[in-house]
Amino acid sequence: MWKYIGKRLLWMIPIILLVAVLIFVIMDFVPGDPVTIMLGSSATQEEMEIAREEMGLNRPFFVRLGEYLYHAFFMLDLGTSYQTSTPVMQELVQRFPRTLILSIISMALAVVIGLPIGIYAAMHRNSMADRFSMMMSLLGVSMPSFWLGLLLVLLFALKLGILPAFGVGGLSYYILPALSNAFGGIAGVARQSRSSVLDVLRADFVTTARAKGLKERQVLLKHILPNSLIPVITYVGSIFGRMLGGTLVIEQVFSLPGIGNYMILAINNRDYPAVQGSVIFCAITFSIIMLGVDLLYATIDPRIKAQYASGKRR
Amino acid sequence: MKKQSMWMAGALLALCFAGCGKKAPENIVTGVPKQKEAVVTEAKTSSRPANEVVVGIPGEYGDLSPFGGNSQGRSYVKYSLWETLTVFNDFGQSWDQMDWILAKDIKPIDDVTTDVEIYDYIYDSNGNQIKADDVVWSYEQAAACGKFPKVTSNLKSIEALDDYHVRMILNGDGLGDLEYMLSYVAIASKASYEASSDKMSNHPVTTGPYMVEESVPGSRLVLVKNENYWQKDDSKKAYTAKQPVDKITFNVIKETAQMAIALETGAIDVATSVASSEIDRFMNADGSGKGGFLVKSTYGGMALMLDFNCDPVSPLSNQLLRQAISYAIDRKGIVAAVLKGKGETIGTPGTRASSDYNPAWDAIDYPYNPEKAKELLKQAGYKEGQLKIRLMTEQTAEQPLVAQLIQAYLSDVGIEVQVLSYDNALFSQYRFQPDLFDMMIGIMGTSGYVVGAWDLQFNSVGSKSGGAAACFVKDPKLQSLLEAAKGKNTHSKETVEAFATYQREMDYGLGLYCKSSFSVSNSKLTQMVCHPFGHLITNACTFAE
Repeated sequence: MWKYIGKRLLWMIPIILLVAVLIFVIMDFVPGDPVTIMLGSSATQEEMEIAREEMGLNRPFFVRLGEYLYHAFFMLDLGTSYQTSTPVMQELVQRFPRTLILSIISMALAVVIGLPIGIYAAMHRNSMADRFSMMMSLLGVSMPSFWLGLLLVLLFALKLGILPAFGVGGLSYYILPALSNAFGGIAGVARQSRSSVLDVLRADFVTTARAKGLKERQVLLKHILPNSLIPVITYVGSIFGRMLGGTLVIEQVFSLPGIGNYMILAINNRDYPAVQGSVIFCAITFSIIMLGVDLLYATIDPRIKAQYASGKRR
Repeated sequence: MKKQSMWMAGALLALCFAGCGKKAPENIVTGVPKQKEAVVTEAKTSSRPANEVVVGIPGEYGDLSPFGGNSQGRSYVKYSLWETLTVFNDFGQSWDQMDWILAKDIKPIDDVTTDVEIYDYIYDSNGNQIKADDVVWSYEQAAACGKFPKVTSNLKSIEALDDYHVRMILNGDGLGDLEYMLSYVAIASKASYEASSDKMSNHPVTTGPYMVEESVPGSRLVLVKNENYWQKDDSKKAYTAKQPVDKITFNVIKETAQMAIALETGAIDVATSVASSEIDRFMNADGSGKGGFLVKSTYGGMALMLDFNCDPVSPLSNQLLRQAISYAIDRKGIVAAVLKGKGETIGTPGTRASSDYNPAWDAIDYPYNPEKAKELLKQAGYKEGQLKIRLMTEQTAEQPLVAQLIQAYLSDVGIEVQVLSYDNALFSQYRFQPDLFDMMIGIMGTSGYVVGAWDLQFNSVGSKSGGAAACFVKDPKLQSLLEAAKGKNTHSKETVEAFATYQREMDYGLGLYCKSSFSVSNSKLTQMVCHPFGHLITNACTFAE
């Protein structure tokens, strides 16, 4: 198992390197000039050339790429933001934990609420509860998170006055953003787990377990759940990744200075170091999450654990 | 069972649609849409001590260093932290009318040379004395960093004559050039800057009346009064140098609805920018505050323009066609629909807050007349439905809406418009390429004079395209009129009028509107004070006893 983890961590190196090269190339070729944005329309050609020289943008592409990779991977220096003049690493280290906390709470809510709803709905297929929960799920996946966020603010901050509406501080500041962010996830997990449990319910080994006289609770916990959780875990892993990079709207609504907010500002302003740094940061985190997901597979399914142990699966 | 489920689903859907319900759009052509009676809210007094104030700002303050680039949030905090030689307290002031801060005396030597004496007791928040060398160093840093293009291009040289005197030589003697130079560069101590581990981006050592206690980038900035602020003499303090409270907390709130909610709940005492869509909750129709709130409305230095591409590659190089378009657009309708009436149309490309703006232009600058537009279109050689033009706009909250309205107005007179909407980066790049659009909606700022906006738009000297910056026109008469209007010694009512008249006749660009900006506070403040550019300066405000 440890060998497998080591291998996976080693694999991350070329993946992150590739991501870094790709994002550097994309940002370089995407139209839009950071110097024009920074200096505005009144700057002359000469002033723009001076700024370009100072920012190192007039050097050959491969020289810039080589320098960037060297600094990023050997010196852990992701450059300085064009817009804020602050080191990108410093900004990311400050902002990333907020996005991570928001994503973890949102994902935890999605699993803790969505999973039981999905299982219950599957076990009571076609009942009123099943129909109601699936209808709510449909509503959940269709409802824009910013709209729900504003409704929650109106209720909990304006009317009841029990939760803060914006900003950063203690955990209470994350409750409304996490609820808004999680609602779609709850619905998604509920739908995914329902369909996954329904698939397993029809399997022969479940019929056999019941025929052997096992109690329904034992059938559920020992046979149905372990076999139906794999697709749910894959789904949860992927939504966690999406949440890390996609909490932008929620961060905007709740004035939460996370990585999504930073990244979108950077993209709009063609702040190359900030975009590249954010993407690399997200890629590393996403790779680690995916490794965690694979390890969870092994915990749940002994067949996968055996494969890892024998080294057949990478 | 099935029936029950169907009923439930139907009821839920109906509820959803009821919740999302929105009034049908009003007819944009016929004028001001009927507005729903706004909910009146009461100003909640917070439990904060009287000597503390919490302020909501609509954007991130970014780099706090003296040489940080301008950002939406920085404009609201910089005057509390940094000091310049002088500061404007009204548009179009000359150097002797401005408030002097670090400058003790200013002596123009000739058209381009000025000597400035600074006080001999200026200290930053670390106790380092500011001398002439620091002033020279600050100007050199600002010119070199590239974030102040006008300083880079206009400052020829600056030198220290002794410990407290500097000589500044400019490259030209344009109207407002000296005033801009005196008021745009924040002065810092070289020693403090070089000792700073982060180039003062987050932990600046300030020269202003306040200093940074805490900075959470993107979220919160806490300032505390500098007890050892160098200027003790109240009679010599500029309006930006006051210290009415001990602590100012700036909270970044980007979402417009959240800003209004924060004010209503008492989470903030002052909202520096309340959107037109939210302001009716705080303001009566006559502009006074509602329910205990105090409202300050300003035009600021920004105006929205419609620039015509006069390069020969575009059909709009045809003067009659440009005039047809100008007559076809109902600017009052645009203000009503986009700003809910919270703004004013403008009679020239330039902000109406400028000192040399003439309100009489409003009445004569292309009133809405679709019939005349059709006639001019015909005279220009186009039949209805024959012409298709491209309108470029930036992806902001307002401009795409304005573009859609212009598209609808021009469609009414038989001109098809394709709207091209780009993000800030692409827009900034494409605006200099005449083959990419025929008309452009742009925001134009000014440093105090309407001729400043004209200079940015119509000056063809040194522009990237060879023609005027915004409309690519190469018109020697326009250029000579502009030179006369913007010259320090030739700027007069007559030269300004001559340019405005000729520009109006040629119709190289159409002014659309100036938007009102609103600052709102609860009862903690009794008077709000804004910089002429429209930004509220918290420490310049008057607080309730």
